[in-house]
Amino acid sequence: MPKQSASWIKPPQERVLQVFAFDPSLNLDIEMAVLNSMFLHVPWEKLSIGPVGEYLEVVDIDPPSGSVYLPVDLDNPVLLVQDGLAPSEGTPQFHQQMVYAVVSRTIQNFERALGRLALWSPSTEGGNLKYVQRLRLYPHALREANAYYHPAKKAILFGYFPASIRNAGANLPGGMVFTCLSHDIIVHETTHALLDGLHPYFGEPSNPDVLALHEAFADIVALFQHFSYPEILRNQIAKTRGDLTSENLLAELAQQFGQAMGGRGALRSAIGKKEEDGSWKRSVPDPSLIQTTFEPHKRGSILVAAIFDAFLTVYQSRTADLLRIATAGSGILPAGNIHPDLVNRLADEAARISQHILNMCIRALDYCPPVDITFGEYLRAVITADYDLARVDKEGYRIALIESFRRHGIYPSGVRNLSEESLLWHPPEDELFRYKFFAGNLAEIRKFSGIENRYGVTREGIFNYDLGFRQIIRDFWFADLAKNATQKELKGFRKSLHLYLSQAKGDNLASIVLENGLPALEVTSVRPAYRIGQNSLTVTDLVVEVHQSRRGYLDSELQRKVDNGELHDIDPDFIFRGGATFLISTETGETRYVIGKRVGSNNRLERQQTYLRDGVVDHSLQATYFGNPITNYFIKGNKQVNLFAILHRSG
Amino acid sequence: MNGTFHLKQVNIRMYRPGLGDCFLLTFKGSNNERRYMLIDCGVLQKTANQESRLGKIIQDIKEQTEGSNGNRGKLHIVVATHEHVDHISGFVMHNTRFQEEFDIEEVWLAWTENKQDPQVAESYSSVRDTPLEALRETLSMFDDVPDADIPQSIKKIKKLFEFVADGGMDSLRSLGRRLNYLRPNTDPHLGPTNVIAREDFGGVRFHVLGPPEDPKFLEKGDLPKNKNQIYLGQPINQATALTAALLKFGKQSTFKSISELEVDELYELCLPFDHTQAIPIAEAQQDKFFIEHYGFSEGPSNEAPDWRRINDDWLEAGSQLALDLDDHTNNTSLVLAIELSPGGKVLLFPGDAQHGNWLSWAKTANGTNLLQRTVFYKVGHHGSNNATLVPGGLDQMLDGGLVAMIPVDPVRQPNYKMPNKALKMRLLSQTKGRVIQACEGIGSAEPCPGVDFKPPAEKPADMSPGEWDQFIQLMSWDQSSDKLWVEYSISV
Repeated sequence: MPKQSASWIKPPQERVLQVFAFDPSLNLDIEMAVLNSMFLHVPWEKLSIGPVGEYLEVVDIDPPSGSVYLPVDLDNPVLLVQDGLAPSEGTPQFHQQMVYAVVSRTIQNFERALGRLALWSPSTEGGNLKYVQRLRLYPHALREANAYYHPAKKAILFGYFPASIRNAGANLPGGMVFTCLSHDIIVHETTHALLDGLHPYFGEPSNPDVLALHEAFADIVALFQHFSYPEILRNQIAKTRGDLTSENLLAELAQQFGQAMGGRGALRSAIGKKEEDGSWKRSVPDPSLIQTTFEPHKRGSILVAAIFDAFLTVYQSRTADLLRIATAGSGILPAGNIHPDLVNRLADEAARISQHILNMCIRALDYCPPVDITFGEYLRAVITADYDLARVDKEGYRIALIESFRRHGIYPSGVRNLSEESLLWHPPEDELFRYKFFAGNLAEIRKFSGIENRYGVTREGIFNYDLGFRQIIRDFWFADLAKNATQKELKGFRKSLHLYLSQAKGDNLASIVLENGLPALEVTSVRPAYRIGQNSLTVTDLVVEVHQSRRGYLDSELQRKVDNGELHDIDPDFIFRGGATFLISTETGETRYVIGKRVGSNNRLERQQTYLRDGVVDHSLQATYFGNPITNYFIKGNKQVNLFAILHRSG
Repeated sequence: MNGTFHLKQVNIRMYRPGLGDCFLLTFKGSNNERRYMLIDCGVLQKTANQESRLGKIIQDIKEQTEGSNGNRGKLHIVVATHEHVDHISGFVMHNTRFQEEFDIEEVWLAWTENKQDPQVAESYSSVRDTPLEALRETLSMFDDVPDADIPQSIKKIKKLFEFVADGGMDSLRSLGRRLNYLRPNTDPHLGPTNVIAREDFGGVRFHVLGPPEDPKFLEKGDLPKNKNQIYLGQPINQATALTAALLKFGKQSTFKSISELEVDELYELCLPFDHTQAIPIAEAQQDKFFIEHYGFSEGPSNEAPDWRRINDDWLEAGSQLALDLDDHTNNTSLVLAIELSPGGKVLLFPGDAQHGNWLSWAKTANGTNLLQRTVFYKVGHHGSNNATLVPGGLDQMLDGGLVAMIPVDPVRQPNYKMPNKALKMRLLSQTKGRVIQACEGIGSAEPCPGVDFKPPAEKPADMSPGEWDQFIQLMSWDQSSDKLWVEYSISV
């Protein structure tokens, strides 16, 4: 009997794993009990025990309990045929499974939106940048109502805690709550890690929007990823009779977390909150709120609310026809349950629209400045990224977003009006610079972004290749330019490309950080980005992010003196960062967009000085004793403060 | 008790130990009768020369209260608002002097210090003791670690421990001839109703406003449960689970407030999973998976480097516990409103009461009434933001003659953000510049320029020259090189 060979069987695309759809607190609510488990489809990969795979390693050590828990073997055939372990709060192996599944799904969303493989932020241990293969996940790391991404350890630490007696909500008071079993918390933390991998300076609080954006973005991904599960949607839509603005489990993040801490409803609620009397109330957008809200979570909530409102606008407009059909024009649905066909169609629309918005928000990450991000700039990034995908805003996503941002008081600076046209990023001012700079190196650009270099290469290979290319751009292209450019051209670089390749006495920029006598220039990222071109074909752009820095001082007088060279060698209070992001066409070498943050901008420097000196007002007891963690971040000698841990700890 | 007299004037002397409260009130009658009340006597640890400076202050108190080489000083009432070092270290460090050189009639403490009180035993006793021991354990785990490697959160716990004076109140219990634990006796409609009328103090009435009897005003964060509470069926919470682990894995195995057996029981109760699931870390150290993916040896290794491990990260939650404990202790401050005559001027001494404590009395009928007649406010918690309730509290102190004193001397203790800038500006505006801070003097919005005390060269804009001169005349200060005190005088 010939040996049965399985070589003709293709490996699967996906693996199915069971997870809790919502925070397990809902198990106590009989309505939700049926609904709370979900079958998550994640990309197939060979896993060893842990589970440990290409991107992740789950290491289940619990120091405050003095224990470890046996790592699960998800490739065990017994588990494979059952779609993994059944959801169970009391089985640590299920926790390992769930954490692996939800993180994997989140990574997949990112990769699909960006069209390339996700990389974790490299480690700086030992001085050099070193590739980090796997994000580490610790499902039972802390005994607190907290979970956080640890940028230095390249790990996510999840806490667990007994539910508080006061208003434990649906939790059993005293019962164990595991943050690693909350889908939303897992997605939120993973997003911090992914964003950190893409934009390492987005964790540095140079203005009130920076940390708020990190938080908001993590919430947005959690929120909209949840909406991409149609089976959950169907139940919600049936329950809310199609009107997703009413109270709605999907819009309340980390619900169990908030409940167990004794709060009302979820920790961060985008579209409304529970009142004192327990009733739920829709938030009305207040454009003045952003002027007075600086705490990162609260400020971030405004951005989340803006995006969610836009989602609702599009949903309502796209389902108007369905409701017209269902109500024969009256617009009033009959009492009782709505027809299951209608439920399905509404659910499909909601899932589709939320997936689109999620993609828009993720793609925007390639259109952001390298440092000092603001909400307004993020809006411009979202609009531009979507424009690059579809010239015509057929379904009104962009207009809904612009409108919604306006209602919430989020305005980009430096634009003439809020039309789509004004919000798009611009190519370099001087036409000369649109072509002059990168076009000369078109062959190398094409080689870098060519498919042959991306297929069949490992993530580590891509990382090293990118690193190498960055060196080339820096050491040859820019260095070459700096040496051979005329004065006029150097001036043009500042104006059009926002980069300082030279520095002269009259510039009053003696505070700029130099390398070999010239303003130091770091290419922090090089990567391909995809869009739809003129003839509806996929086109590749090259994204290049460049970074420059300057010594910053809180005292304006001192800053002035260092800038004009009067004083030297004084330790800075903070590093003021600048640079630019370029999007370059690999077809023509044309610089399509430049998103600049000039390091020589004194206005921007002053704003950061004011923010760090006076603007970061924190009245908590924490701040009284310890000062504000944001200003402490910049104090020299302070061992790298993990802002994510602190922010998440104080809620 | 001596005979009654007609009260003419009250002198409030704020001593300047550094960051700390020490107030001597002298109640003077029309025939020079005098009664003395001392509210708190303490300074933060690590203040330079604290012991000798406090000693000098106590010497001054003795002289002010008719004490001399032969006679004892007379302290008719000694108040200790709460068990923090910056309020009671004087009583602890110089306990013998208080016992031997003073004649103390009564000691007043908050009812929350009465360990015999059943409510205290159930909710408050050992709410502080055991978690404090647990946190001490946490700190001891970093004894041998170089300062640069100690995580920020652990440093925070250390900082908060500078205020802890566990057991300190015991130094006070036997100081006077009588010991009173005071309650506000809160009425749901009127507010605090406990009024101690003292004819022997010239008819002064002492209103006990706090600490609140309703637990919901005291606890912001959930504090750890003690064994009584757990046995009574109260479920454990996060702080309990953390405390259990801190006790179990500390260096020590014996504690004052909890037995070894109880530590183990508590620990078992707080485990997240059933026994059968857990594998001790010691065993994991022999396991291939954990060796490869976590690592237990020193120094960097390829797959399992030490910088990715999380052995101590869980300890950082202790900083929140320490903050909650500090907050709780502050909230148990004895709050006294001293009414100089029926319907007349009120002096407010709230200790370090935080918002929870304030909220229990500020917005009540009785509380508001007293606030509106307040002419002197001892600013709580050295001017930190959370210790002065503004809406319903400070904004009710509308008397035109309001004066505030802030007992903090940043020059001697510059590490904290006290007083809070915004609060100080608010105080300055409400008192029209009459804010006396323990270092630089009056009306200054700037941080202390030096240790000298002198009034500003120009009077604040809001006041007429007459008003301002009058105010300056009511002030006096220690001209000696020690600059131990500043005093303000109020006529009845």
